[in-house]
Amino acid sequence: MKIPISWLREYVEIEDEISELAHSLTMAGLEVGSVEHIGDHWDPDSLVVAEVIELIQHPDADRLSLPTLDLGDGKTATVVCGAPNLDLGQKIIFAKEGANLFNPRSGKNEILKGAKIRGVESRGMVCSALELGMGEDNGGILVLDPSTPVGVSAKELLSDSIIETELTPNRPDCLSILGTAYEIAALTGKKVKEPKSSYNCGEFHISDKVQVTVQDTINCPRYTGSFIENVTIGPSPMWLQDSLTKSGQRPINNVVDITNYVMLEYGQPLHAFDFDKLDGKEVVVRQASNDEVLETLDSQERSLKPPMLVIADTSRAIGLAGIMGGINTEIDETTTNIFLEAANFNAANTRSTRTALGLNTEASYRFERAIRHELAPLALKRATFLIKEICGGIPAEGIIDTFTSLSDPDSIEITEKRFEKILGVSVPMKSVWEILENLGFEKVEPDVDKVINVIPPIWRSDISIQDDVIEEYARIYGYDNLPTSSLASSIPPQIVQTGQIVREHLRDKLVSAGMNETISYSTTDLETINLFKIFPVSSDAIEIANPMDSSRSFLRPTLLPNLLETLARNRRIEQQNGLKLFEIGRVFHPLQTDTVDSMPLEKEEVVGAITGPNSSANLWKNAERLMDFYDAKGIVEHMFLGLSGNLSFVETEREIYEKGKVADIYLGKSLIGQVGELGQGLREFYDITSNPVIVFHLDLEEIKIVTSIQSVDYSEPSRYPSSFRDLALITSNDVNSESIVKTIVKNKLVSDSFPIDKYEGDEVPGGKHSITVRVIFQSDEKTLSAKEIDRSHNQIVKSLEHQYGITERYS
Amino acid sequence: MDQDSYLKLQDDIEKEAVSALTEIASLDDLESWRVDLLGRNGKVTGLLRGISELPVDSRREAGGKANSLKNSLTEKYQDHKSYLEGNSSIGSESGTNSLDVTLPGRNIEFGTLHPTTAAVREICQVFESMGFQIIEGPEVELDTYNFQKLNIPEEHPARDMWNSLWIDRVLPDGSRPLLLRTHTSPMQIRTMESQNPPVRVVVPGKTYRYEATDATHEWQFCQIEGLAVDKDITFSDLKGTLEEFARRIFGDRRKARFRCDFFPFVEPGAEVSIDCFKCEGDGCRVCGNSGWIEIMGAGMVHPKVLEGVGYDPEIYSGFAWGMGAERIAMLKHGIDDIRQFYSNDVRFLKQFSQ
Repeated sequence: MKIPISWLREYVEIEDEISELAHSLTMAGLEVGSVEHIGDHWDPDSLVVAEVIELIQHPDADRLSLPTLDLGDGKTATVVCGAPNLDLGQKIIFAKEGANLFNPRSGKNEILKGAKIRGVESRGMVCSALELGMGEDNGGILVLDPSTPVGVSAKELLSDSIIETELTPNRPDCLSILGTAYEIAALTGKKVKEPKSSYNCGEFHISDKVQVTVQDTINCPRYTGSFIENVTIGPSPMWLQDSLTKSGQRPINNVVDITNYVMLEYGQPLHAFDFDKLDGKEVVVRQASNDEVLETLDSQERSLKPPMLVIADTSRAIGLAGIMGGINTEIDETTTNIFLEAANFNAANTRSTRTALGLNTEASYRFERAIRHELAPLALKRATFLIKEICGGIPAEGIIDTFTSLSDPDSIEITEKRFEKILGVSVPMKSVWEILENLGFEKVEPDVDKVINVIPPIWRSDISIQDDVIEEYARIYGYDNLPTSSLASSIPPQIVQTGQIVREHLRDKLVSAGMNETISYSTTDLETINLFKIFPVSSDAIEIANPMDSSRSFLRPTLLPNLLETLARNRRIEQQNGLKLFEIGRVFHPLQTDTVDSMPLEKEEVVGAITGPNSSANLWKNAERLMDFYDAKGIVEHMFLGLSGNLSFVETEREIYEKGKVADIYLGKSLIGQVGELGQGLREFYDITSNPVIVFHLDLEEIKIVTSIQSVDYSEPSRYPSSFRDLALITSNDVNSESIVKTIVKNKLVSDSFPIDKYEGDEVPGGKHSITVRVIFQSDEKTLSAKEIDRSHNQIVKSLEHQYGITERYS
Repeated sequence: MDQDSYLKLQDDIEKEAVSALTEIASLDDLESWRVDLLGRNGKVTGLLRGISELPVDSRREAGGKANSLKNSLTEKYQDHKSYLEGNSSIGSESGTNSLDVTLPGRNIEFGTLHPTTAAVREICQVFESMGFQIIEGPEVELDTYNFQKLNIPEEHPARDMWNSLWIDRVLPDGSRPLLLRTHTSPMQIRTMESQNPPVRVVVPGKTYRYEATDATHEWQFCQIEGLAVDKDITFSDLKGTLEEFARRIFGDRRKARFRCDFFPFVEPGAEVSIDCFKCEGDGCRVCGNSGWIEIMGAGMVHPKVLEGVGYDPEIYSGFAWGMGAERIAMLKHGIDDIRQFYSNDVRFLKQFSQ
């Protein structure tokens, strides 16, 4: 809320610098977002109040006039002016040559220079509010109150500061000048001066003029009203317009301006009806009927339904309760008799109505934050007083007030013990009371030892329990002035989270394998879900009712599509480098049951995708080649190092992969995912066709079940040297390398064996290929002789031949 | 052969010989090199023999050059031999064997953690060292957990602080029960419902808000919640714990500032700021000239929240906090646009090597 300091000063004394004040308010919970200074750069000598003492037409321009101004120091000035509202006798702000003013044409502050306008010399100008930096209005010059003394500097008269508070939803009381003044009073130890609101009334009673019936007392707990006859509608006085403008409101006419002024003053919205436009003398507060239509003041026809609350006369709705008045009873220049409303409307109902209608107003904003009903009669009387003073007219005797409860407000017991329990420091109740008293609390009972009973101030709706009062004390005392300590309580027993440990192990391994981690949005579209054939029917996908992006309105059931999109996007940015990306995250599967509290199944997945050259960044001394299936498989193998269970790869066929280039991955006996070359169709879909794309896609939930960090079982290394032989073997294509190696390592002198090369081509007969396998010979007992190795070698070749018909290539 | 082609041949032999020598790594290869050039049938020996075939007036010059080539190669041979034999002197003046040390080292390919993950880990580690445990919770939540049990009833204006993405599921009463969680705070409830005090947990995880994105707002981000509940936990513990956290993350000299703020599930509520590590509190772009940087919201767990999970607020008290992992990462790395985190541009990602 925008709060002019000049307005605040009417209720509370402010001695601090504005920046100090803003800081104190912020620390106490009323965040001051910005401070605006009006007239900061004004020179007292060059901007002064002047009176228009002569006004003639410009000889060569219809729209320009030549006012002569009394500057108050015995001097006069004649300038050229284009404002349509300039009139003889007005008090205005005159800017002399050299004044620093806002130029609406350039949008900047500039130094005013003398000029010849259509042949007439003009040394100075008459200022508009916009040029002075006091508002948006550039339609005419700023006309001052007729009582303003001539010659006074504008700085002295008009300079001000405006603080803008950014309020949390619990403080509707500070959506008002008075509420803010109470807050400042509490912070600075000052007293608030309440505004004047008592008035003399006419010799007629309100009950003879109007009756009010509240049909829905839940949604309208209190309704107060006053009646004023014979008012004169016209523009508001300068000071009122000025206050509204600085607070960001547009002045309309005196009655409407007063209702807005008092709303800003008290935080209580008010509404004035043109009483003569009412059908009958009865005002009813009731729920709208189905399809009831009301044209609100913004000229929109609103279609209403229960439980929206309306103010009605005997035949129709005349206002949308707590939100906006109806155009049918609007105050206009012909209005003479006014019915003024200050009521309390239910917060939740106001909120649901304004949400349904998309109509957020200053009034609804305050009501939905639950303001106190006690404010209604206070604001009503204040506004009635101001209308009488400013618009003339005679108020009826008495007011309407539907509130009947006479019970005392609830008090809150506060104890020294609780203060210590929550704040961690013992606070004497005496010090607590000092702060609470400044905040406007009342004490209801005589002090018992270390216990007092307090009633929160009537403008506060956010204090209902003792801990709320503790916060009140703490924030005014200053959080920073409270002590600090470190946690002394016992550390709870460990909750075992093996899944997290396995996941973070996999993540670390992926990074150490040169993969870059990505995090994508958790959404996707239906086309993608169907493309990847995740669900048997697409209606299983979980849709967001109000997505950020309507083209991505479904929760992702797989991580792969987003990773491929990321890959494609990066491919376009960097053509020359290989890409190695992965993501670990949640996917969403349908609700398992259909009860009120059923939730989607959330599963974690690990996906990776690699493509392009194997080495990025620099090629120096590194041979470049395209990454293939075995790069991806190597990464998968690397991931599971240090985890329990044996990893195995079994040739398979899966829809999204190239045929014959995909394997199922098993950890022990559990299928945990696939690794393979992405199918041509998907590569085209994502436009990543230039190189093979190899992906792996793992079910982390399954992995978490079947594995854990493996503890290392030490085995003593052999003390004797090893030697190796490379066996070039010719084998038929239906024997895979794993079977060959398994046969080889059965030999008892063999400590390890692995393929090192594979060849298919002219030198090998059709249906066969050559595979070279390195065999490591080592014994724990002795250094092996060449003879022993030869014998083993022959045994191996024999058993390979026997088992698979494999022959040595160079034998 | 005329003099020009003779001299060119001589030149070629020299160039080839010098370049070949740099590749030689064994004494055997060096010996073959010597024989090939300086041996009886070697190329240089052949050159010297060929002098006689040149015109007489050019023999002297060509002869001199061939001889000096022979001498220089012999010297190089000796140098390289002693180098290979391990006899090369430190600071050898010979340029033959020196490396271009400015050529890049062989590339070791590295991977990177996403900066959000790195921030989550760093933050969680600090709290783990204080006895907190990391737990996680569902990203799709029930309205009851995301709001109601956190003291945010339906139609409460505080709901505007957490604009929500609702799952398209409507109950017979017309209400939507599911949403993408707007904060990790629901895990406060789930944790307390499933265990008795003492509680000390941190909850990292993805959260979602229905908010327009800009340089400082993403609709998806990662939040880290914390909760400590026990018999004697006070606001001063909250201050001490979070101040210590700030120092460990942003440096020893950091001061924490606590001011009143509002979250419906805490009372008293606080916002925690640190003095700006960039300008030491003088005011700069990072801190918006205020000298202070907001890092999280916090507060004492509201008695209604404790009651709701069956903890007696007369006996137990606790504090909770929530912070954005990306915000912490942005501050630490000087990232000025949160949208970078979800761009997944490898030029961004690769900057965060560990």
